[in-house]
Amino acid sequence: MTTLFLDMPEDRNHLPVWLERVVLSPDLPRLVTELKVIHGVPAQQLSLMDAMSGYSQTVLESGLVSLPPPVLSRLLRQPDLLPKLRDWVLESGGSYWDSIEATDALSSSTQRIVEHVRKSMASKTLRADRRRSLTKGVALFLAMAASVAIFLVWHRYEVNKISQILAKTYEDNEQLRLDNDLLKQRLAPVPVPPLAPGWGFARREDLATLEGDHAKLTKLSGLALEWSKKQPQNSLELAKRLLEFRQGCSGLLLNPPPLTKSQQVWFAARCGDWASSIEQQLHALESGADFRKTLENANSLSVSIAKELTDRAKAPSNSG
Amino acid sequence: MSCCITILVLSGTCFQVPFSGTGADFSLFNYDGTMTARLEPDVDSLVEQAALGDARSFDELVEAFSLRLLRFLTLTRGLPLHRSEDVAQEVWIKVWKALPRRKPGPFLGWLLTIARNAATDDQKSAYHRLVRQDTEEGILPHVASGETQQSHASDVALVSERLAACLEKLDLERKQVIERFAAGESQDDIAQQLLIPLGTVKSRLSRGRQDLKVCLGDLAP
Repeated sequence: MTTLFLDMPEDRNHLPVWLERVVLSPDLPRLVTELKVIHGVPAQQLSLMDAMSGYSQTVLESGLVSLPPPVLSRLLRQPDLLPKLRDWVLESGGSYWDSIEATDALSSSTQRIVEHVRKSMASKTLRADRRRSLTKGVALFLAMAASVAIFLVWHRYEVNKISQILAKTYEDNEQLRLDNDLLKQRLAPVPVPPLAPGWGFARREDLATLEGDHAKLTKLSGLALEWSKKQPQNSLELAKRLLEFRQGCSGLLLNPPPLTKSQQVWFAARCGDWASSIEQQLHALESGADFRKTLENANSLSVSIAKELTDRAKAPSNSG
Repeated sequence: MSCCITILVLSGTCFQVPFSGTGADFSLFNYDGTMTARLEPDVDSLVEQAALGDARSFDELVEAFSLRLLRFLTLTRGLPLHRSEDVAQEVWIKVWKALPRRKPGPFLGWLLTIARNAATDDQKSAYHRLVRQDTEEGILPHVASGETQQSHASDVALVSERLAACLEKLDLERKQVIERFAAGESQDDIAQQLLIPLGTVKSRLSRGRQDLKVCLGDLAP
């Protein structure tokens, strides 16, 4: 094992490229240790983003060469930031970081992975696996749907039974009438909160006039797509939009659209998933996630919901 | 020099498709040589196609992201290269199976989450294997692997100890220049900051490096 910092290029134009290679190599811990010995503990501990002072995006896209010398120097003087830089570019960096020359061992290993996966794909085992996994998924879904159906039948039976008992008690005992009223209130359907009028799933009033699942699912797809047409300009507007989007889902979950039973079951399951995705995005936004990134995710969610609904509408059982 | 295939199109635009070892770069050129658009491989559409069962698109994804995956596993998860290679292969198989159920979002983040979980599973099962082997065979292979790690750590400690001692011995003026050199400053900047001629910086740097090499002995590059 030898010292690494003495290998630093004297021509500072070559320093960023040299450092990028070390950052993406197993030698990085050595360099960090050496630089710590040389520079000691920095007077002021900066975070990686503060140290890069506004150059983070260009570093992801074009590498360290985009950093002005004082910023690069800041990273070398606080070497604990270098492993953080490595983790960050590996998780978020663009294709530039993949173009940094790998060691021979790493290149051959990469090649072996590609060939191994290629062979597995060619053997068709994997493709068959996926078909099996899809079949398993469908079977699981059917089993769950059957369980829900059994529960609903049982639930209805129980409610009827309770109602009958209550009716009898009502005749027999005047005192119990109050309790009965109370119970009836509890068993009454949950009132649907009023939806924000105007757009998205909130504009569902036309659904009742349409005939057949195909037309209704296509309409719902169009409504879903409306969410991505209105582009918010800041995080607050985006949060408002996500809340409206979520509220639209609630409306459809609590007061299901007039589809046939099987479509309603499918729709309720999917709508639940979409609602949790929207909640995750809202949570991410509130926890300080990047506005542009979250907006992109919200748009892509809206497009994928619309596509899923269109695909469902086009399914052979609905296209008629 | 890269090899190019140029396809002339009646509309007055030609497609130039240069081939290199790493993949094709699709660009659109006008006759006057100006570039009108650059089409980079669209990860989202590859992912979408692969999710629908297109093995070719999946293959392109594997080719595009395997190096990143391997670096992630070796450098951030600390797996040895041979284990990382196995784990990466398992990850791609999991990815292929899970693609149809993937929720919308950036592909790389999703891929690395699967890789992170796979690496954790691998580390756990490696640990259990070693414990079992230890119990069944009465040997302590983990001690051996621990020794390797320990010896690496003590090498690093040796280098840093020796480097600290050598820096202590270094002439103060040379040490000053060496420190600034290790912080990435150019020789011009060092000269300006220390108010000394550039030639003096060059000679102090060169002698300082030489002194360190002599002092470090077999630890010098």
